[in-house]
Amino acid sequence: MTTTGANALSSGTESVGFVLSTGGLRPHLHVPRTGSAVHRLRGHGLDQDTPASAAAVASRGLSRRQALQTLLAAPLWTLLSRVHPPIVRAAAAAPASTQYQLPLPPLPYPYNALEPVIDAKTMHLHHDKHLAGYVTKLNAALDEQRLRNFPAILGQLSNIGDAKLRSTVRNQGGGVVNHVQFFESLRSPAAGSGADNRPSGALAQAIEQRFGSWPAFQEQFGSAAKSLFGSGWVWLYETRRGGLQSQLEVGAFPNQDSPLMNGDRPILGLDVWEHAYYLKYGPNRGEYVDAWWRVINWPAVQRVYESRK
Amino acid sequence: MSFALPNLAYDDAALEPYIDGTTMNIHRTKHHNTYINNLNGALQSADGAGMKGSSLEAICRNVQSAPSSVMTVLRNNGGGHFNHTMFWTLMAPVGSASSAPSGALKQAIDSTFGGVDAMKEQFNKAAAGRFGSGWAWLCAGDGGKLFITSTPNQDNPLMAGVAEQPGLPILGLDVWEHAYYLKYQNRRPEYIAAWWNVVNWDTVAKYYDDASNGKAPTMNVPLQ
Repeated sequence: MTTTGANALSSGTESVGFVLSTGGLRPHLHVPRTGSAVHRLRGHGLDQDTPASAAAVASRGLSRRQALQTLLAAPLWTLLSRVHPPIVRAAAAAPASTQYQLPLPPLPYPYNALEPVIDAKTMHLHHDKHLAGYVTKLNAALDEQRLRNFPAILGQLSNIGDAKLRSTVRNQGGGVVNHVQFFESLRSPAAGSGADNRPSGALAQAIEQRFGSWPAFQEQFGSAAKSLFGSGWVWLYETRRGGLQSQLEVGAFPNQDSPLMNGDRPILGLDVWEHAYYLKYGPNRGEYVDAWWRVINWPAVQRVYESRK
Repeated sequence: MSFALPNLAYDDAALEPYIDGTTMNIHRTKHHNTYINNLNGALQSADGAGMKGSSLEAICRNVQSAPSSVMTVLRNNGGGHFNHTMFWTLMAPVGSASSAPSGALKQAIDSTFGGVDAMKEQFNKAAAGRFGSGWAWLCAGDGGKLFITSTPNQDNPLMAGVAEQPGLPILGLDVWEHAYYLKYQNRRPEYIAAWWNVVNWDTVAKYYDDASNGKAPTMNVPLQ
């Protein structure tokens, strides 16, 4: 059985996201129950014309085997760790024949999957140009040691003495984590219940408890997204201020800043840089924000929330 | 009296193919117009009343001393109105204005940067390197000495205490994504390179002249 990278990843059985534990981030590894590992590797598009293929191709100039090793050796990319554990160990044990680089994770769905809420052309640009650009620039700026410490390094920016490098890691590294998590948090509008697409389980309870009601949360988040001036993101995040019980918050973050930079855990984010909506919505950011609720992948977001220590 | 939306001295499509007509239309009638509406709204409010009647230039210069309750809205929307009003005057259809600096301005560029190309290179770097939304500027500083800087969001070099490098702007470029995304998408450097084709160097010369006399750019700021 072979499936395209897009189909394999849009089945909804895979989990996503970064997981915060004490001491920093570790990837959330979900091992799929069915299907051969080799076919899943093929399904990541290394020999097919899919977003995943574009991603592997973006790690340019690498042979297929090298690209495969690079993908499997990367500690962070949960999308790429949907392989049978022995394959991961084998690849990790193989000698690295190329310079260590963070790969560009593929989109978890076809470019047009979020239509009509987010248009395919925007998804192409957003992933293949904007995210790819952040990945490329971050790889260019960091040595192997720092790359292997990514994204934990985002919580330790003050440890980077050189101001210019610190700024680069903040901007490009923030761009990487924000977009990877964002793309993972979306799904076809048909997969949800339209306008009433909402979370369930522990996250729903926590939102209700913290914000009073689901509409109250939507209003606060949406209002922050519509009023953010310039470029930035709005995040629902969880604070972990030592000793205090963790608390959900909604906040606006300029440019590519991330809750990770404050030691907090991002749960659900919305990109309000103009590139995220301009081709379809023009200056009408409010329309984009209102429509976005329909494409949130709540099972994926809930898994992020529930994967905590 | 409140601020009104300025007209262009040329058609929306007159800067094609460098800047597309649709962008010019949306940029002015939606983005710029929103800054004006928000600015007027702030000046009508109780907290903004003190700035009512101030010139647009004064609003920008004095942003830091505005009441804290209106400071941000004046900074963002006063800045937005000033920046865009200036921006429209700094462009012209190809062939309708000087396409290169001359006279005193050219001398100043040559002596400061080593030539117009060298100045453009530095300007391009500032414009491409401004992360997120903002503007790149060619300014006159102390003693009229030219320098290049960039500001975030709708800040501008007139904003004392806010701008990292304050000065008198004589040339500015909008690098918010709305300024170029429809035609150039993520390719901001391509937009910057194209924009030089429509810079109105006669206007830049006028603003340099203003700056040489210690004045901010003298622009028509229509009221209604």
